[in-house]
Amino acid sequence: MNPKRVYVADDEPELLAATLALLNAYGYEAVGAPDGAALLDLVRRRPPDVILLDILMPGPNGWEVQRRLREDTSLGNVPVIAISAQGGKSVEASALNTLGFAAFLRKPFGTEDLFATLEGVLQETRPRDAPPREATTG
Amino acid sequence: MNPDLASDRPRPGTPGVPESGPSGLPAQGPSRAPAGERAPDKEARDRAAGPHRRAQAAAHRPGGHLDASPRRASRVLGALPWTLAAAAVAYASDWFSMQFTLPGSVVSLVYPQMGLMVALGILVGPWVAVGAFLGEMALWLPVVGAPWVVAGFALAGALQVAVVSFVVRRFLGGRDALGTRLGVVRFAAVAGLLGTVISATGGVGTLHLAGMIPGPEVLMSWLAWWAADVVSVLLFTSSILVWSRPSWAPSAPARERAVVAILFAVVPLALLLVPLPHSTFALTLLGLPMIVWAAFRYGSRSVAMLGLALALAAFGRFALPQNAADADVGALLEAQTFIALAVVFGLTAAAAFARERRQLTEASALRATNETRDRFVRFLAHEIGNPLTPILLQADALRKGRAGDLTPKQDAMVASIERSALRLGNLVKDLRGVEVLQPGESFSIDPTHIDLVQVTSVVAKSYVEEAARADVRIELVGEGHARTAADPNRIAQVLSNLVNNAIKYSLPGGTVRIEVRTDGAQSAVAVRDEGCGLTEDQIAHLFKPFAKVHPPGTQRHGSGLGLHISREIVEGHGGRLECRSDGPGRGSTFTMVLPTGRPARPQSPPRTPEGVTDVPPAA
Repeated sequence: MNPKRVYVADDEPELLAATLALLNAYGYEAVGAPDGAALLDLVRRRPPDVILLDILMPGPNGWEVQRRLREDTSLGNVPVIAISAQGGKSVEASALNTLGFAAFLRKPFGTEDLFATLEGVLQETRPRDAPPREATTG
Repeated sequence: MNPDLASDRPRPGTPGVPESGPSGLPAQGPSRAPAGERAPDKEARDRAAGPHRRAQAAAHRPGGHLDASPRRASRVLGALPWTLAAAAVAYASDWFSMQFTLPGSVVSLVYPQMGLMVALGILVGPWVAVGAFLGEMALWLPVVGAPWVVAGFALAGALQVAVVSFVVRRFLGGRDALGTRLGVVRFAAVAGLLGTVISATGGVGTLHLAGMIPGPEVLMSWLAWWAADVVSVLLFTSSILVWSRPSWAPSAPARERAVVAILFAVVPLALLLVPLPHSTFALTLLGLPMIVWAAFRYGSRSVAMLGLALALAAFGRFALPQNAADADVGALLEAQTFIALAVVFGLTAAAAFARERRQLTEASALRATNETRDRFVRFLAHEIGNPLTPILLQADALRKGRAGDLTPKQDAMVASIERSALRLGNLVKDLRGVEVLQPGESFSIDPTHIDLVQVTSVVAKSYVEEAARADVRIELVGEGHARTAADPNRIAQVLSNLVNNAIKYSLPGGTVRIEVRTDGAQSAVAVRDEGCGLTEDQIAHLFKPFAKVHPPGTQRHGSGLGLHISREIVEGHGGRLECRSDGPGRGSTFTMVLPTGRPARPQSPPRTPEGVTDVPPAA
């Protein structure tokens, strides 16, 4: 089985580097984007299995990026995990229920938090063997 | 003219802070005649009348009715220049007041002196009464002649200055006496109506004993004297006090101020000039709406000024030669009394309105402070949370040997870094909870009311997964609605904290039961766990900041701030946060009680939900 492809968007270079290093070390295929626009580019070129999306970023913020991802039906239903250093439980609930995020990961997160969330989301999503474009989505 | 009334009374009068220059009113000889003769000739009157009035001024030197007399010689010497200054002020204002005698009448209509000296006593100290006494003696001794008579009414006046200013300073708030509604009413009653009895009694009594006021006229003389002082204190003392303290300053543009000043000048001018016979009182009525307007729009100072302008105009009208025939003392007294009452009313309204403004300003300042603080906390959470993540990830990577194997010592050091970073992370979690990024939906029913059942249920659901990982079941009891006046984000923060704690301290297989109740006046959320429980002693320390209460055998989880912050939030909503436990090992219950805001509101029916909504632990 191919390694899972993970896109990470975060404007904090240190955090991005550490996350990518960790994911790659554990056998994911992780690619980083420094902002929302770059992420959208990446996704359009080649949809991933899962996206880790920082909410508070310059340019289009996480809510906006998520909205565009959801609008673009050609992308299929790539699960998106919100990561944020802010926001209480009610923001989290709105993110999950209203905006269709697959999970909410709070900064600071550690290795275990990251993998627990990531694996949880990947397991809920069907294994992706079909090309995402025609993913009938589950 | 009117015998009785006119007789001895000094009249209160006009406007303008006394000292401020003599507005060239056509004044006449000084005062009014004393009682005795009905005004035989002007001279007689002068002497007689003068005195009364003056009497008010201030006497007091003797027996130290006041705390005034300095105890030591050096203090006496030091106080001397000030006393002389006060005497000079008393003398000048007394002389000035004397000028306001109606043409062809024996009545002194305007007597700002008492009001001025009382104000001075309040602002500077009751000892100015000594100066008042000296000034009055100096002015009247040459006029009246008999030293003991002059001393009599001068003493009474000084005593009045001393007593009234002492009482106002000691019991009524001094220069701030007119700052509140109650203050204005108290001042009018105590300083205006009661305190002014002293001078009238002492002055009229002295003149009566001296044979200047015959028995039958004593009562009317006393009334006239007293009324003059009442009006003087209400008009002049109030004005000076109001101007001596910072007042709520309306922020009207200069243009508006100019227009208003012109409008406000119209009524006094009309009062002064419109040639309607006997119309003074009626014209004075025109001042009422302006005083009301001034009270609500421009504050106490404008009320005081308007009152003085009206009084001045009313007096001026009587003083004009063509109105001499109308110069009826009763009518003037009526007008002055009316103006004084209107001023008291206006000051009361202004104080009330200023208070409201102040509260509004304070409330919005508080809101702004809260917002700033929230922003700062969010900023902090963000700025700490971001760099902490790579620290945690990299520390973990090091310990997993992804940069080569670590020696045990290196491993211990990295572990220490990791633990510290985790603690910092917990602190961030406690500080957080203020929502910034509102992605849409909110819990508010309206800006100030939330449904506690809904908020609780959302919070409970967000913990289902975490609970499942700990093998804890979450049970939510509560249905219907519990309308509560509260900030949804803050309350969600509190509930998150309680539920989170309950899960952490539960034993595997345990249940966390969350129950929402409401009885109309209050709503409560109780979070009960079956965990390790707490002792009385632990409960006592639980809500203190950085409390280190944790059950034996468990790790300290948070920063020690969570419950403290939660309690602050709940108490900030006018509610309370309590903890109960049946003892170690028997679980504990945290209950948040909030007022519903509008107890009697029928449409938020108290519902004590018996239905049980189970939120099953997610697999």
